[in-house]
Amino acid sequence: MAGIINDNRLYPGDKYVWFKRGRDFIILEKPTHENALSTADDPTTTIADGMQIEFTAVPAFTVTVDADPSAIDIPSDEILAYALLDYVKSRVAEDSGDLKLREYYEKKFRQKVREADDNKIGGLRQIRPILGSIR
Amino acid sequence: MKLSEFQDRIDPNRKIAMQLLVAYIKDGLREIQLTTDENVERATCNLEAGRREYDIPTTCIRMRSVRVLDTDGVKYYPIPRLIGDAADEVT
Repeated sequence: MAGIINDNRLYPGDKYVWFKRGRDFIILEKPTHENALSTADDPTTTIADGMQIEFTAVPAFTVTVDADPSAIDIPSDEILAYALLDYVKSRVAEDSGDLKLREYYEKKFRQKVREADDNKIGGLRQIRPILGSIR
Repeated sequence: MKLSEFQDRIDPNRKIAMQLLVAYIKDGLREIQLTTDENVERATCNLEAGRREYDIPTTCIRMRSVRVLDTDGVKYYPIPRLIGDAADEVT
């Protein structure tokens, strides 16, 4: 489990902190395992492939001018593709100056995205207790 | 869904310009990611001694976590995000 020391292993969660600044994120290393944030400084060790970031990204979608539209997949699952359809319709309505139609499709888009998200989390649920919680 | 089907469903009588359609689809994909986190990606890079600043990927619209490899080189563990005055004071 992260954060619990039961052998000689040093867990990164006790040693490093990060924060965002502009287009970068910054990693600092604490000198000890104590909460010595005021003296945290540059990392002192090089670790190959030592860092992993997990992020939400816009899916890659590029279409060349001479591409065949019947051979290109929309980078989205089927349900969200229908939501995307409503989004594009709302933009087209906006371009033509029909704001009521734009609002109609915008509302449908939001509704379908919400439904697509909610429908994927069915079944039994269990909440994982946090570390140090009272049992 | 194929792009041709998508194009037909918008308006079969009035074809929208392909490049404009692609631009709208990209905008829509971004809107969807902001709401649902459908497309989560992971990237690894070297942690370098003496270097504290690392680029956020240009396709990133939400950072979910930063993890560092443990000393056994077995597993990546999430590290905490520093908030508050301490982050402002670091130069």
